[in-house]
Amino acid sequence: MHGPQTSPPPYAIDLHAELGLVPTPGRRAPAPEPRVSVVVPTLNEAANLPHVFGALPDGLHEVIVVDGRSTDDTIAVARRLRPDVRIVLERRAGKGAALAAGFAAVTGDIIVMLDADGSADPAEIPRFVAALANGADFVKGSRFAQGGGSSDITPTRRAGNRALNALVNSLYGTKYSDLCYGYNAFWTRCLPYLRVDCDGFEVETLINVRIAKAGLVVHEVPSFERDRIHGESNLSAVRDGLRVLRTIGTERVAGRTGRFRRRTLTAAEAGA
Amino acid sequence: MRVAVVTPAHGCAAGGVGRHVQELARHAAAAGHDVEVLVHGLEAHPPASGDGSVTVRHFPPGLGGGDFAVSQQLWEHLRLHGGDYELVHAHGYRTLPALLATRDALRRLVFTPHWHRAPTGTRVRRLVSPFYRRLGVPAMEAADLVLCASATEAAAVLRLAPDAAPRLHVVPDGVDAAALRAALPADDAPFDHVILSPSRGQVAERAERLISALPALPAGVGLAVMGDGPAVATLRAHAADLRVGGRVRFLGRLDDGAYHRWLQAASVVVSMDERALAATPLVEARALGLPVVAADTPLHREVAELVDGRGVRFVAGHSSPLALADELLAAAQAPRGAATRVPTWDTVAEITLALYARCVVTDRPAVGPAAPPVPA
Repeated sequence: MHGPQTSPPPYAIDLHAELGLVPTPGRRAPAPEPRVSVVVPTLNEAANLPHVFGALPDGLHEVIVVDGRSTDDTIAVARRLRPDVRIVLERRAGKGAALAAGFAAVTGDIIVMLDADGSADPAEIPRFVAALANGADFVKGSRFAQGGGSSDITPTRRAGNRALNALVNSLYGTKYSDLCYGYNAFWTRCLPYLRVDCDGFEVETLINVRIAKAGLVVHEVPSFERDRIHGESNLSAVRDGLRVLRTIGTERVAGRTGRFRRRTLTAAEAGA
Repeated sequence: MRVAVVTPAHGCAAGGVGRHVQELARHAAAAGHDVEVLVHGLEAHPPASGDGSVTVRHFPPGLGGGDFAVSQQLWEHLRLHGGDYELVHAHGYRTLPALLATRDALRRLVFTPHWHRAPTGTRVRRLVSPFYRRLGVPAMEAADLVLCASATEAAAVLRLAPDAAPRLHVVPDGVDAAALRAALPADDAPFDHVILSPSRGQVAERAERLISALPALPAGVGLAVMGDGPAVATLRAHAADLRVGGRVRFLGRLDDGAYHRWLQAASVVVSMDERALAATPLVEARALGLPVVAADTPLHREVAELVDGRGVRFVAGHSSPLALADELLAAAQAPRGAATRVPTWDTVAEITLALYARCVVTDRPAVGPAAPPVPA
């Protein structure tokens, strides 16, 4: 922000020094290139991890696998595939709990949320990072943006997602096109706004709603969701849809803040 | 010269207009003019009171209510006695009904619109403002002088009343630099570092953006929000929702002394209002050497340049809370240095009185009675 000075200027205040704080990693980190951390929650994904890890781009700062309840050799496979992987053990069940534990362990500037079932393409990560570098605070993958798609989503899930999406957009003035998709990236400095405190698949909705309430700049990038490679999905359309609905209601009641002006960058504005 | 100042408010506790009127009236009286301030506010006051050598008359509202109350007694006073004054200086929109109804009774009229780019504040105020704005056009066309606080305000006025151009002048608001510097810092500031959002009336627009920036700032940094109005409850809820309720203090309306103490306690002064057409707090902050973060608007750039062009960081209106937090932190860490060109009330009053003198001897035909004023 300011060049080096030989003597402190009169009245100069160094907030970090005075408050004994280490500067928060984020947009103003001294590193010229942001450090990208990928958080991968897993539950019995040993068969899928080779596909996921094999497609990760070069130059990542860290890959964090959050596990603790797998009964297969997910952790051993992760360590074999990527010796520098960081393993975070989380005994609580649910994707929300796993993500919260993973976020707490991050040391990079950018966090990418990546599913371990092979449905999300890790090769899209540079697209997310570019959108963040172009001014977004939070980048949402969208299967319904132009260029995105899904070979995995069922008609029931698609209809439910569309209804919940419309509800959130009407409540918060957002322009989300894919509320319940878990492939997102954001600056680490956004973590105080997320405060992930739920356990299940409603975590993506919780994050999206809290990002909107804070007025953070959101940009959507197209993403293609492939079929899960091995195993069965842990998602239940009805049960988890109801949890999402409850989350939307709870957040609305908790923050009766009225509708401040929200802003979602267009693709052109974000330079994507 | 016998001068009447028509105003909805008088005194520093009554907001920016009140403070402006009080300072001008005081300086005009000190310069030997016979000044009466005609207030048509809501507050209960005695019919007439003294403010040093200035006579202050209060006219209770008879019609309407709230922000746009209309005083029949003021109409009556101006109709009967308007010609007694060599010059009537009217401030703000709430004076318009009385002015338009009695224009023929006035000899010289100066109008300071205290213009807002868009209606703000309560729902009633937003609904009624467009009506008053239309009333402003004939008022400005009927005035011998129109005074704006900034070139940005003048441009907005001229878009509506282009015929006022030859009679329009820009006279910035002044600040009481000596009182500012003499104030002691507020000792009840609950934060290690205070970001101050000043306002003499309702809470400044876009204060929610400041609250949204707090989670991205160090824990010892807090926000002090001046002003009142319906937005306060919403802002409180927003702060609680972001878990920063303990880092926001709502100060309500402050008198000058308390305001100056909070300015002294502040690390950064901020104005995110993109629609404001006056920016006195920015000047006051820079008079103290405080760094300022302001929405990137023509007004803020104009005022920053007026005081010396330093110490003000601009942020885009749609920038993210993270970017705003970065600017606030960078401003707080920047070296302080008081602005070198601060308009004081002495200077502002001197300019205004010179314009009065020119107005009284102007060639423009007086609309009202041409006879010399009759002493009361």
